[in-house]
Amino acid sequence: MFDMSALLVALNLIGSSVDTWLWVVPGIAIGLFFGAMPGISITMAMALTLPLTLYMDFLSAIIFLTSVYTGAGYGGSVPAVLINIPGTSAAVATTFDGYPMARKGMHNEALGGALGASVIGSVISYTVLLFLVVPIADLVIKIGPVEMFGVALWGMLMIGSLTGPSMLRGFVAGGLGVLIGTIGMNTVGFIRGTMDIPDLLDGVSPIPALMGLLASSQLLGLVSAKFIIDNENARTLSAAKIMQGFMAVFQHKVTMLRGTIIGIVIGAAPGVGASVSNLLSYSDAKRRSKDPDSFGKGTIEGVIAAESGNSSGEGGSMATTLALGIPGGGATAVILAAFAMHNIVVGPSFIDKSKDMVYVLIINNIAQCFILIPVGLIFIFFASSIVKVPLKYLIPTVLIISIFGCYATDGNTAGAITLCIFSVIGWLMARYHYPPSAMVVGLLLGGMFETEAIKTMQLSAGNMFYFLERPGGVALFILILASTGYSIWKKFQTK
Amino acid sequence: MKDNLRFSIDYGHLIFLIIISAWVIWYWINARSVSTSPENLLIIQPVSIGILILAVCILPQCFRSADIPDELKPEPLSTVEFLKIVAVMLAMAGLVYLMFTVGFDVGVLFFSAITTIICGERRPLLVGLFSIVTTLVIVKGYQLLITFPMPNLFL
Repeated sequence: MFDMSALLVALNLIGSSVDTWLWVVPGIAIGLFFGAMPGISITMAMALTLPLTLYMDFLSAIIFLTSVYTGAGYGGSVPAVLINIPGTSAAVATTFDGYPMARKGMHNEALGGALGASVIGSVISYTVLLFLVVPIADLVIKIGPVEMFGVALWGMLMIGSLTGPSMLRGFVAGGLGVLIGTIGMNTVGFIRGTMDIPDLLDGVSPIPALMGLLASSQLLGLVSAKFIIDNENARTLSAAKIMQGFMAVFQHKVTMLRGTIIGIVIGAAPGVGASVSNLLSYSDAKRRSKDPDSFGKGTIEGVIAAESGNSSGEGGSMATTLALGIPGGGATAVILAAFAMHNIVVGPSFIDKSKDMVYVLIINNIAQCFILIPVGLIFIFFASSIVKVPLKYLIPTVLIISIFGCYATDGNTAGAITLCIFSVIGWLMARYHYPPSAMVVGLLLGGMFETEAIKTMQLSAGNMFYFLERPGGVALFILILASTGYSIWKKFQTK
Repeated sequence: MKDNLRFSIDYGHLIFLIIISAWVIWYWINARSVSTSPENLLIIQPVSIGILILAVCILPQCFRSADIPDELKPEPLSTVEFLKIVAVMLAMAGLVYLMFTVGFDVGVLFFSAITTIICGERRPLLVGLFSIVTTLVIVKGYQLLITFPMPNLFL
C-alpha cells in the first residue's frame, strides 16, 4: 500500500534531477502534434519517439515518453472538435458534441472544455494511482471474459442514446455497425463476409471506417459551404472563451468525476483502453443529464464527459503496466519497451523494490498534466485558426490527410479504400438520418462484444446464470441494470 | 380518406434501405454457409434478424415521405450540389487509384487541384500554387513520419 518514506525519497529524487524536467515540454508538444494528426495513433507517436530515448538516462527516457503520452492523449481531441476527425480512436465521443459546438462558433469553449477535462481527469487518475496502484492491479487480475462482456454490453447500450430523431433508424445504424465489426475471422476461427479479400480477415479496420463515417462524409456535405462556421463574427480565436470552456469543467464536476471513475476502471483493463472509456463516459453522462436532448447538438457537458473518460484511462492503464507488467494498450506497451531497453523489468517485484521510482513516475505524470495547460492553450490557439481557412482549401487538405492517415495505420491500400467506401456510406446515412455515430459505436465494440460473448459461453458451458458466480460480473450487471433503469425511469418522469 | 392513400416515394431512401437489407441478408447467409454453430452465429443471427425487422418497420416511411416528421426528411439538395458531392467522391477514388499506381505525389497534385476547383476556386494561379504546396508539404511530411514506403513519381 502507500509508503510515505518512498514518497519522500521520490520527491527528493525529482527535486535533484532537474535536467529530466527539460524533456517534459518537448515531449508534450510532440505528443500534441502527433495526437492531432489523423491516423497517427498515440502508439505510433510513442513508437516514433522511442529511438530518441536510446541515449537518454532511464528517468529522462521514461519522463519524455510519458510526456508524449500525455500530450497525444489530449491532441486527439483538437481535430475531433475542429473538423470532426478524432485524432485517435479515444476521441470518437468527443466529436459528438465538440464538432457541433465548433459549427455553432463555440470552438474556443469546446477546446478549452476538452483541455480542462483532460487535465483534471488525468490528475485525479494519477492521484488515485499514487495511493491505490497495488489494489487496482489486484482488481485487474480478477477481470475475466464475463466482466469484459459486461463492459462491451455497457458500451453497446450507448447505441440507444445515439439514435437521433428516429429510434428505428438509430438501431439499424448501430446494428449494422455491430455486423460490420464481426466481419473477418472470429475468435474461434470462423471466417465470415470477407468476399475472399485477405485484408478483411482481420476485420474492417476501425480507424479508416470511423474517419470516413464521421469526417469525410461531413466534409462531402460541406462542398458548397464557404467556411466551417457560417457566421463570420463567430470565427474568432479567443483566449477568454478557451478559459471559459476550461472553467466549465467545474460547473459539471459530477459528470467529470463519473467520467474519471469510468476511465480509471476501464483504462486498467488490458486491451480495452481509452476508446471504450471515452464512449462509456459520454453515454453515461447523457443518460443521467437533466437535458439529454442537448447531447449531440453541441453541449460542453458532452465534451467534458468524453474527455474525462479517455484522459483518466491513462492512469488506470499505467497502474496495470507498472504493477503487473501488462500493458493496458499499445502506448503503454511502448513504455514497457523503454523499461526493457534500460534493463528494468516492471511488475510486482518492481513495485516492491522500487516504490520510490514508481512514485517518481506518478508524480511526474501529475506535473505533466499541469504543464499541459499552458502548452495545450498555446497549441489550441494556433490550431483554432483552422476555422478561418476557406473550405475550398480545407476540404481537399483534410481529405488528403485522412487518406494518408489511413495508409499510415497499416501501410496498404485497404485503409484508403475503406475510408472512401465509408465516406459514401456515412454521407448517405447522415442524409437519411441514420446516425453514423451509432454505427461507429457498433463497429468499435462489435468484435469485442462477440469475442467476449463466445468466451463467456464456452466458460459457462451454456449456463445463463454463470455470471452470478463472478462478483465482478454481478457488480457490472447490477450497474448496467441500475443505469439503464434510471434513464428509463427518468424518461417516463419527464413524459 | 383519399388524402391518406396518397403516396410520395423517396426513391433515394428506398434504394438505401434496400441496399442495407440486401447486404444484411447476404452477410447472414454467408455466415450460415460457413457454420451454423452458435459460436459463429451468436451475434450475427439475432442482429441480422433485428435489422431486417426494423427495416420492414421503416419501409412505409419511404412510401409516405411527405407525411414523416420534418426532422426525418432529407435536407433539400440541388442537382449542382449533388453533382459536386459525387465529383468529390470520384476524385477521392481517383486519388487512391493514382497514389498506388502512379505515385502519391501525382495523386495528391491532381486531387487537390480538382477538389479545389469543385469547391469553388476559379483562379488558376491559386489552384496551381495551392496544389503544389499541398503536395510538397503533405507528401514530404508523411514521408518523414511514417515508416511504410510511399512510391512517388517526382518527389
